[in-house]
Amino acid sequence: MNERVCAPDHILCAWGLTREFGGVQALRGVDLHVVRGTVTGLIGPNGSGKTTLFQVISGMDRGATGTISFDSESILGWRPSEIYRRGLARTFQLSRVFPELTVLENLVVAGHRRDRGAAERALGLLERVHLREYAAVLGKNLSYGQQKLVEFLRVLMSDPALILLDEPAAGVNPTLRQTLWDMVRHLNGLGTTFLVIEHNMEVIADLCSDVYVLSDGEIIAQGDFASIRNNERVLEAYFGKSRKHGAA
Amino acid sequence: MASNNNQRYAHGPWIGAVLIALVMLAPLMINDYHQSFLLQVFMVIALAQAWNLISGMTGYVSFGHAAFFGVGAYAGALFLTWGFPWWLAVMKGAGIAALLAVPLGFLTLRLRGPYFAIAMLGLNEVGRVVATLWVDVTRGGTGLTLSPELLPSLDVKYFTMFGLALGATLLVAWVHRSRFGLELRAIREDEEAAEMVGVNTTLNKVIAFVLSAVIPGAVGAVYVMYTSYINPASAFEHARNIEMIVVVLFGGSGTVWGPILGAGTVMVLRELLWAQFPSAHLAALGVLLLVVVLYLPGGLISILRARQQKRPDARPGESP
Repeated sequence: MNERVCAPDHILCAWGLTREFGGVQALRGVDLHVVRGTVTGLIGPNGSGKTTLFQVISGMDRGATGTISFDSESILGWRPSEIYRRGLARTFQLSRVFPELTVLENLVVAGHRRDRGAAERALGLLERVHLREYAAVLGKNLSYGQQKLVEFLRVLMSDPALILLDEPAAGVNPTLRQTLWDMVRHLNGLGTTFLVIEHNMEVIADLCSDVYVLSDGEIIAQGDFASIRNNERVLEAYFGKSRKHGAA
Repeated sequence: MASNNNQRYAHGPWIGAVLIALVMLAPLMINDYHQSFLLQVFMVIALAQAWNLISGMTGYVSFGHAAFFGVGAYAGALFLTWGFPWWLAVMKGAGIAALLAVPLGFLTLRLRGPYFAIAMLGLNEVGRVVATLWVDVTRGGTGLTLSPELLPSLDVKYFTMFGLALGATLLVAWVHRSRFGLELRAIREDEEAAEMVGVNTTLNKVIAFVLSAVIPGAVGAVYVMYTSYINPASAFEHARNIEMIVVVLFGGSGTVWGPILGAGTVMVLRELLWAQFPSAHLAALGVLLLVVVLYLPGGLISILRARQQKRPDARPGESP
């Protein structure tokens, strides 16, 4: 039994998360602490294990070892639906709206079962991003950017305390991207915590108070953006050894 | 969403009321042959709706739902011979099919795609083999014959089978409009994403599976009272699995009216073709089905859908 305790101001704590796929270690003893009410960034080169970490935290991948504490509950091994209902939601790197459900149904299905006002809430969310007129449109008939936005709105239906965003702006046009980041800022202002995978460093610098850098399955740096941008291990992970001396 | 649904089903209750009135009056106006034909249509509707509930709604294609029909048929026959009233024998058939479906659902619904389909096919074969080998109870390949005095009248069987078809249709209609149905459709679209937005996919699938097993269980029990004889080959007939699938695909999978439309059309066509081409009617029907599946993948109901979407007041994504 692991007796580690998450600090009261931390909403998510992970210790020693390890995930192996046939001898390949995708995660190597990852420690992660997300402070309540913040936007925390998770960056790293392609294949460094960022999405695997999201899979493990969200319960989609239940083959990892270690400890995860979310809101004082040990959630490693829980079903994704249980974790979602506990208040931890995530989006996917590639859009996964339900193609044959309408936009409204896509949102309503993500609301709480006993929420009688789910349709009204969903319409309200669509209104905020100027998609209300698409409520009756099938998910498959939206543009990719709209699908990503709907997927983001979908997780808001449960009023989650923590949202994991996996490259939410990838493939999204600049207007919708701005709408998305404005929503993140607004919700963060209301107290929602975010853990964000993002390749756009301007967004990370602008939004995130704390940044974790993952490389080859390990956390190699953590701190504010200013501190990690000049970190030698980070530069080496992103640009290789040859860049090491000239980049900083 | 509610107004959208109301638009979708605006004509449904009226069509349903007219159909029910015709069915109730039919025994007064038609002979036993046609009444028997209608009874078989109701049976196919009920079975197709049952298959639709699990396979049309969740996308888990079952090739073995006839197993529940067979179990219900044997249960119905046995309880009738043991002195139970016919209606209780029907309920026992449904109940035993449901009891069987609970553990089977938890076991088989872990599998996806062709693996689930094959597992269900295997279940049907297991049922047939058990019925063949359990001679003490089922009389093996000889089968069970029910004495006429145990059987209810044709009118009773007709109305009972109609009640099952109606009940199955109302169940599918309720599921289609309910939160439960929305979750089933989300599972069909993307099971992982559904789980990720709080849908307990395992529980939902098992509930749908059990509901979809109850109907064939009851239908099987009524069917054995209609034929007054059952053996392993007729109880666990693989053609019945194919029939459920074909009827639903023909009418429109995952819809309320599709199985009714499919069952009505297939049964009438079969009857007409059989009369005209006694030696080649199955081949002709097969070709027709092939054409529909190839050129109307959404089934016959998709024609109505397309017409509705052409209406000036139709909203994008609206469907019958």
